[in-house]
Amino acid sequence: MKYLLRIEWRKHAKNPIFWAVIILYIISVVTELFGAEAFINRITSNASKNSPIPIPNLSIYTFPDIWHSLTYLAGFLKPLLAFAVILFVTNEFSYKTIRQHIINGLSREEVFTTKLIFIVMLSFVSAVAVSLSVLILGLFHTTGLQFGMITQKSFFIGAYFLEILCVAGFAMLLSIILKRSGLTIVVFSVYFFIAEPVLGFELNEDVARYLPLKTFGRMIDVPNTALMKLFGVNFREYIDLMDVFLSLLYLSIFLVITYLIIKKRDT
Amino acid sequence: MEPCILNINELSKSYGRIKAVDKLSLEIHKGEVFALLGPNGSGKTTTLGIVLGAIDLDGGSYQWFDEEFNSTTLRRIGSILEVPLFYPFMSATDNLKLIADIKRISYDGIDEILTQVGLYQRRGSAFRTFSLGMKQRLAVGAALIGNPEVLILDEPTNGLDPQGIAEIRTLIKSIAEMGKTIILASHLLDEVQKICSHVAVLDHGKCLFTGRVDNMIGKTRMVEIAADDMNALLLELTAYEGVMNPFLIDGYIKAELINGTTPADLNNYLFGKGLIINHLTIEKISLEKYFLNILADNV
Repeated sequence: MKYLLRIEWRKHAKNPIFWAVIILYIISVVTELFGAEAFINRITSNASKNSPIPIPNLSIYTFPDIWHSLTYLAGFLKPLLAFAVILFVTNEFSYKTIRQHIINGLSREEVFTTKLIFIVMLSFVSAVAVSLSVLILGLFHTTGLQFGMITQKSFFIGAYFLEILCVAGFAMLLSIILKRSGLTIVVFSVYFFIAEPVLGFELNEDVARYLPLKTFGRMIDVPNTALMKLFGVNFREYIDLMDVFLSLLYLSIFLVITYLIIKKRDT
Repeated sequence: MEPCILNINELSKSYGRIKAVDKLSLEIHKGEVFALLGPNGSGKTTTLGIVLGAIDLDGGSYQWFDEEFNSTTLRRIGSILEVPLFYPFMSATDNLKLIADIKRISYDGIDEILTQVGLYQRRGSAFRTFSLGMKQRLAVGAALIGNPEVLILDEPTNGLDPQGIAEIRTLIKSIAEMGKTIILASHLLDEVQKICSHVAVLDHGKCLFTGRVDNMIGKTRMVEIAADDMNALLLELTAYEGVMNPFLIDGYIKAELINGTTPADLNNYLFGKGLIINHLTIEKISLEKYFLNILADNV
């Protein structure tokens, strides 16, 4: 395992494009999270002007709810992470290095494991970036902070990790099937931005809710801001274990198909 | 006989209706520099891809080192298939270190290998900055990592200029002198004649000939023969088991003398059939002619 980690690490550590992509991704996440409150407050105060009752400016950066709001917001950048996965998995095919690895004595199981390590590591990096943002923003914005408040809703970061891992798994599966980065990015985007939203709209709600991206996204529901409360909507503030189970099921299916393709296909 | 390194038995692989490898059987022994010779598309790379586990086979079997194929088998073999496959952004040293990682060995020998293939000065440069000749030499270097018992080199001089070709050939010869078994795929007869000890001629996935290169060059002889009645001569030669493939050309009949048949045997046989020959010469044929003959017979 440590040996496979070293192989995968060497490939990426020496690739300037890898670092560029990772740093851009982290900057995007941090910018989004640090800028979100100002953006929401502007909408809230605009709404407040026309409202007969004043809307309180409730910070989204206070513990423990910050775990919920920031993991929800960071979820919007899933496609960026998926593109990174596609870029670096399809590289192995365009450089034909996957064939060279196999004839050098890396077994097909090990090839699969290195790719699994890669998506787990990327998801982990993303979860760490979000966690650090949560800690920094939360510590500065929470009044009357107690330690219990910091950890209270931190389970949202676990759900976030699973959510992006599932999307990364989906991107990896497409990459393995299609092998070309451009094509894979187009197919992924069409599915992500068009096909599933249209399907979700057309299909009966009982069926549509089981679509993969909908399932992953549902783990973290919309956070309840002051504005939402005003409208009387109240979203779920816990994580439904059924959604976790279904996401894990989807992830397993993606991984099994990926494994079987690597195992069977000529390289 | 030296121990068997690779034993291929009735190997088959089809792509749709095209038979890339067609019931191919071969035996390669320790210390041989074995050539798979054939035109492009004759199944050389597919055969190597199969025995290296990169391509699934349809039928037949193969065995390395008289053992079951397992995950450690490939670590005893150094190989390049078709083109040098490296990460373009990584340096020569880092690319070789990655291969050492995969083969689970230390990096100790890497500088020595880079020196051997003449790339030590450029070891820190990214692979994408290399010329084709340097890429091919790095590929041979990659195959040498871990001091493997067997080297598989697929068209190692493809696309190189004459100097590059000479460098690679010298390199292969020096490796062969270290006693390693080398399996070389090539479509260049000249190359095979210069570097290899044994050869298998492939065409359309079939093995047309296998044996020692020098036997093939030295002992294969053509006879050029004429008699007053050329038609009767052709008929008798076709029936005679001592020669192969007689054909009429420029007023003479040419045929291959099968090993063991002497000109005297031939003369004797024809005399017995009542034919008096008025011309008989023997020529040794080059591998190139032999190769073309073999291919021509199978069209």
